[in-house]
Amino acid sequence: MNVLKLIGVFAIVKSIQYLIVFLAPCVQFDTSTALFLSKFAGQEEINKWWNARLWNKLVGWDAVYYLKNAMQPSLQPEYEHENAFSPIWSQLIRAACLGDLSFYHVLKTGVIVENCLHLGASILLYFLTLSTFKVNTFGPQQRRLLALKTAVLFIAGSGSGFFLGVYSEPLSALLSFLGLLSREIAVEYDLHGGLVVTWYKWPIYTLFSTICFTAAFAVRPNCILLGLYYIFDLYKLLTSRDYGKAIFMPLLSGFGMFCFFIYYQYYAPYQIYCPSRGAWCSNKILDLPLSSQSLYNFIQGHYWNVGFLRYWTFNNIPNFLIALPNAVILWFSAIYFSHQYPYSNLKPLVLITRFLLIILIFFAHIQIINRISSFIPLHLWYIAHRHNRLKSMKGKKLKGDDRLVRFYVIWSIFWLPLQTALFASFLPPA
Amino acid sequence: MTRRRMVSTFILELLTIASLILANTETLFFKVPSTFRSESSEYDTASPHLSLVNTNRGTKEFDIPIGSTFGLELHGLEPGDTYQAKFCWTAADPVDVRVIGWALQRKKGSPSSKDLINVVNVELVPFSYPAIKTSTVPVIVSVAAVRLGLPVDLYSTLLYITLVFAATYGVYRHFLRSIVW
Repeated sequence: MNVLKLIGVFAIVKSIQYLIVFLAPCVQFDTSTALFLSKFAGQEEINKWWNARLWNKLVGWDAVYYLKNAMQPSLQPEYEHENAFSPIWSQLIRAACLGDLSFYHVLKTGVIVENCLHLGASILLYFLTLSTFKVNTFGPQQRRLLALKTAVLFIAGSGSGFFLGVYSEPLSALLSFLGLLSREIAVEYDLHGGLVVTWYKWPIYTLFSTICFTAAFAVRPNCILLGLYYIFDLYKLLTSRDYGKAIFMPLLSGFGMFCFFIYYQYYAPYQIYCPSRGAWCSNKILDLPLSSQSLYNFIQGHYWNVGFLRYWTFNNIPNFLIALPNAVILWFSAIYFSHQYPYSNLKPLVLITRFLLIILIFFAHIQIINRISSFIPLHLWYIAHRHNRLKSMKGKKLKGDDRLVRFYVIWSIFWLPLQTALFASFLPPA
Repeated sequence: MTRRRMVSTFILELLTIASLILANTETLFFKVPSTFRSESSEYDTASPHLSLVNTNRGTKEFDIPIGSTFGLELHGLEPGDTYQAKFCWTAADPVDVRVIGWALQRKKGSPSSKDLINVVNVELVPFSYPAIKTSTVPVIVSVAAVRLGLPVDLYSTLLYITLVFAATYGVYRHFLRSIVW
């Protein structure tokens, strides 16, 4: 029943968002979409009624790269920096196009797949929430309400304006939630917070969750942080002297993920670009066919000026302000589930949330927090958890977490349509 | 400085900041001196140009060469007015802007040193591996007068965003507030 409710909420939210895009002025602030369209489609096609009023407005920011990669004759992106825009996601769109790679077919297919993935991730998050909080003190009714609210917050999340188009985050979120759910099913905790995992759940833990986390990483490199689950589990099993399980479960999973990381970020790019490329290829590791700098790292630094404190400039103050609500809520959710409600099964996620926040604040373009934090649900659980309490506090003066959550929810209600309108007008934030 | 002017300047500053964040767009604000007078009203239409005669905005696509400075003549600018020049190219063409600027230059072939014209200059350089193969890149150049601290071509978008915001407020106040809280 709640899943049907979720589908209903999804349909309503998306309809409103697409209406906002549809009604937005056809002349965008950044006029480069017209140039991109004329490269890949005929003028008559571009000017068609629906294309001009709806579809063309979805071709902005990163969507350009995903669409271009999807239409490439070869699997390899044309330019080096285009590797930063998940070639796997582009290949998925390409596969879904069933051979017809005309521009508007690719765009429409991409948008349909994106919406299916976003809805799928929302439903998965609902079940992940039910599973995660089953060991806690909630009653079934309260748990279902928490799960429903969490999924609704994900549907109408701070990055949902981008997810109308062709972005890779819904796919990475779906894979991440699937991995989290499989791990959640595989492990249990004893009264002392020790990790309990039985051998017959080995395939769910070691195979399924590893495949999901690794695939999520391949889609969006920030999902490499999910590997912290295995480090955490390894530490727990080693301290409880469960060496067999420690080796064949988290160590094997983590090693598998690490091997893929080396292959995907170091070995495969080296085979394609080096040594003729120079630059990042120049410094090898121990004369192996591996460069000391990963391709993704190089691309981010060279083309987008990503690096330690490089984004801390006066002209980026608006971006920090745009990111502030999510940065604050992520930080407080980590504190909340560390001290006020220190659930054992949430400890790795608290760690991941903290790492993500530190990386985003000090190294990345901070405003992307609004969409890339979608692969972790900790802040959504925090908001949903506190919101359950807020209902019973009508008329009372709100303090601390309750006040923060109230502010965040109001901000989200205003941010979603605002960000949708900004996206449709090709205005920042990216 | 009057309060209205201070607000306009503040908005312009904010807009300049925002423009720096965009990836495939470079913007430039410049003010035509109030003493600027062109001696002849004839414009050379053989050179790349954008006309703002009898209008406060103009948009045109140009094929801009990579690796050399491209000068674009702007016709019909009003003395004393501030303008925003915007250069947009698609992310599918990996180039970067090395130089961007505005200048008053003497008209080509004009013997008089006072016969000046507004020119915006831009130099694009390849920014990818492998480098872009084409020698020119299509770029849409838009020039718009700045009124109340905002380029006039942005008014419709800002009005729309304001309407979306107002509508959201109305929906929140009358429907969502009772549901959410």
